[in-house]
Amino acid sequence: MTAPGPAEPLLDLTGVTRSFSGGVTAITDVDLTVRRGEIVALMGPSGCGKSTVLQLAAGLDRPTSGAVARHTGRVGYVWQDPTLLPWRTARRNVELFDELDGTPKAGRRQRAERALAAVGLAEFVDHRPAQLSGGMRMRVALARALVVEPELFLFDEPFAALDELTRHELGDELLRLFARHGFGALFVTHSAGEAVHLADRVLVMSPRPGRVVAEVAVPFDRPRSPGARTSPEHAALVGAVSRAMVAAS
Amino acid sequence: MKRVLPPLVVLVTMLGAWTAVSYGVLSPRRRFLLPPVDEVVRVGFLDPHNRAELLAGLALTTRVAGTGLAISVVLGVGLAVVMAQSRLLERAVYPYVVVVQTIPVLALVPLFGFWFGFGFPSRVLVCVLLSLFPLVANTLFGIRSVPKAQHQLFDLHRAGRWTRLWKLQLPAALPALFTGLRIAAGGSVIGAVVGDFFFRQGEPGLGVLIDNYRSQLASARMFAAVVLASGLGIAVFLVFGALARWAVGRWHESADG
Repeated sequence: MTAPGPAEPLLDLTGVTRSFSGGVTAITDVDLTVRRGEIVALMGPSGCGKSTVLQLAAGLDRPTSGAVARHTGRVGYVWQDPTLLPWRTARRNVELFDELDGTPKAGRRQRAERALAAVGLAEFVDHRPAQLSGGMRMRVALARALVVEPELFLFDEPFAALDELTRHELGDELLRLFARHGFGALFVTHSAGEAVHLADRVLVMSPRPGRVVAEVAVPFDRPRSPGARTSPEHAALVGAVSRAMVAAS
Repeated sequence: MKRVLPPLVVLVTMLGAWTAVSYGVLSPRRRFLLPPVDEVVRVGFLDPHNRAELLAGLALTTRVAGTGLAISVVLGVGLAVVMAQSRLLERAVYPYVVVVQTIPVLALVPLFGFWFGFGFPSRVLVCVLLSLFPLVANTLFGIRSVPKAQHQLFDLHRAGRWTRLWKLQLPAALPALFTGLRIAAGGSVIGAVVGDFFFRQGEPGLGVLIDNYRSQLASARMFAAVVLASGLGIAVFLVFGALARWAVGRWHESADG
């Protein structure tokens, strides 16, 4: 679905600076836009303020100056730590946001079970986090975010703690969900390969105080097959992103 | 079997040593210092009159300890929840909770008699003072140990204070709360026995019986009362351990052991 002209923006950061008391400036003068139907990867050296960008985007933090405009209220957020509540089963974890939002009780269960089925966990709805593998816990976290049908999806290195095979599986799972739901996503990662495989654009930030200093467009068509990771074009773009990272730091 | 056998061997050894000292070391005139096991059982537990007296004492001591513990749970968890609401409240209240823990409570106990009489209420108060701190400290620690990212989940959906308390902080604090409960229950039993030494009005609890038997040199019955008091402490420890496993064992590993 390549509509003519750019899709509607879901998130605009304009000249955003965030300083903390104590004089540390995490990010300075950051401009970025995430549109419906695109995945934007955000890369940069450790401590350059990538997570701060996500916190601001989610409304969990406020900029010192500049403007953060979110054009949707339906925001999904996934952290590196799945942040599941250990006393709840997978299904009850996925029901959490519906509970917090006060949506009617009827239907919660079905929504949760549908979301878990969508990430391949239909058999595990009654398992607690301790009984699930790291990859499965991350799937539960994805399902929990999906339940609110997010239009803007924020990812903070979600797969960084997983082994490579699981990381690839979940990356492909994410691409399937993206194809089905067509949200806009801002995806923080340390892996150039992951960024190129998932994203339409890769933004590169400078060391702290972080700014967006480079953008690499990823022209590959969707859907992207798992095998695309080994193509020469993929490798060439990963090289370009790595060079931009080196140049930025 | 492997779990039960080693402590059982130690128990039998100790009972054997006890018997050996009673019969072998002590002369019959001085045997009241450590009456032999069989005499403790015969006089204390098999004699219907003595048994009834001891069991009535056990029942009263259990009631005192239970009432004190119940008050401590409500008060302790309540205080922890209040302190968790703001650092300012915590700074204002917590020093006094620590004070209750650090002052020699037993020095205050005679005062309670003046203020609240020498019966049930004063005994319960001793239990509360001996069991409050572990409940407050552990519950507060549990509430404070909720990871920041989990709080952000709730921030993201603008959860209110009470929702957060009910759905996040209290469940997260449960393992620590149960650890505190186990310590507090032991403290409450100690309080119930010790309170008896000071407050002797009304029905006698185990502490009163121990003191009476001591003054009568009725050492077999005194040992029987000590055994019951120890048994109560052990039972409380086991019951609250089992309760913790039942409540949080499915998701928290600290509930084992």
